[in-house]
Amino acid sequence: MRVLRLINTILIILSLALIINIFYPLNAISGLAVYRLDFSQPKCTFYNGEEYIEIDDIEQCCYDLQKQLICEQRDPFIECYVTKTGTSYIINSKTFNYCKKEGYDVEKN
Amino acid sequence: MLRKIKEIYLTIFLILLVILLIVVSIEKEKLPRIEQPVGVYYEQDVIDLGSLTLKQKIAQMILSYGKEENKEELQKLNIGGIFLGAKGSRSEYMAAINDFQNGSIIPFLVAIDMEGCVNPFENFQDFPSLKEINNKKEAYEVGKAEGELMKELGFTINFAPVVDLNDTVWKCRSFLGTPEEIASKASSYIIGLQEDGIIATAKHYPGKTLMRDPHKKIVYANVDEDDILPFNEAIKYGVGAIMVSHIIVNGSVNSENKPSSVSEKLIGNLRNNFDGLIITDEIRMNGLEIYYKDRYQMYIDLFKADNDIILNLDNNIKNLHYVISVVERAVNEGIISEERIDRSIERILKAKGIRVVK
Repeated sequence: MRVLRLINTILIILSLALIINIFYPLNAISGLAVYRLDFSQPKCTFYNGEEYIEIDDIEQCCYDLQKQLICEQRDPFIECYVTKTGTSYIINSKTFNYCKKEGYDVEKN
Repeated sequence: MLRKIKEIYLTIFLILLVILLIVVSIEKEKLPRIEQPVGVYYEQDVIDLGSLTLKQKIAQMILSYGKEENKEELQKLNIGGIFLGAKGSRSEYMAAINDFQNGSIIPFLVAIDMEGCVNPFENFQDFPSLKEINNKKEAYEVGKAEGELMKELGFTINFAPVVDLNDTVWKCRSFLGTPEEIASKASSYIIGLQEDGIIATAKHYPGKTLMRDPHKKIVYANVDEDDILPFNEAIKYGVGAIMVSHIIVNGSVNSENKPSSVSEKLIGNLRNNFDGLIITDEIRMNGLEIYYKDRYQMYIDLFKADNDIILNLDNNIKNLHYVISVVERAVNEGIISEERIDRSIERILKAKGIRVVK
């Protein structure tokens, strides 16, 4: 009897999770959770060869990151560029996770 | 005993429910089935417009991100073009572009963005940024050199030059100088680029897109004749495409208090002077999605506004399916006319070097 109740409880939880997944995919929730649990502000800085410039529009930043060749972890930031000696984007994990969550093609090498 | 029986019935019911929900979840994750395009009459650079379905025509108006994993879906959908970011070598570019083109019924437009700060070819060829170009002769030479490389690699369109008068965001994407000097450099660049058959794109119409208040997501601006001058000069010198931004403008050009890319009045006026391709800026930029509470209406308005190509670099194929189905429904309900779609298709196919017969 206790075993049955335990099994039924597990099945109810599983059913609820599957119902939620139908309306809001759990992989999106987990991506969103990773993003929301990071309480820092999204940061995106562009180095144009002469100066560092804050890019406040994160969508614009994600769009530009997608055009880069490589993103490398350079703790505590991530640097994305075409070549090491050219222009680059320096972002934090918040920005990186946001861009990934929104479907931009960004990967860390 | 009775309680035990009830628990057993509940267990059986829950097991069946879980199985049903798993099946529904799996079905929901599947992409809509796309058949390989059949019946498309395309031979020797001539296409019968009537052999394209409405969905295929709508898909031709979308330029998406060329992610390798999405290649087959993009080919089957008949998406009009792909955009590529930086790669490490010439051969990587050529392999990627050939791969996409080999499986497509109608060739893709293949786009790159040499907008003047970030050089995607930097690993194997250097080019100056736009702000480093001193005069129209240099502008022509840079355009010519870029065009030659792009043609060699298999590109067909360059989302450049930026002809906004001022870039206060990245500080390297604009030509420097007076409006007349910028117009002259831009036109010379366009002439050089297009000599090898690469379509140049003057952007971002109607200007003032790179001067932003970073605290505002939706951008408003007053544009004047100086802002429009480089675009008019580019048109005079035969620019193949103009990219329209999402900023809300008044002044010399009026977007009816809407983002420029969805203003039928603004685009209609541009169309009066220009019969090349009108391309939207990427649809997630400049707060377009914030202006609209509802993507459904946004997609309808983008297509209704007489843009030829919608730039949507979303890697999620499901979203591309959604866009196509929204617009298809709008055409079937008479909100957008199929003739309007056909006019854009003819321009796109002409830009691809394909003659259209009806």
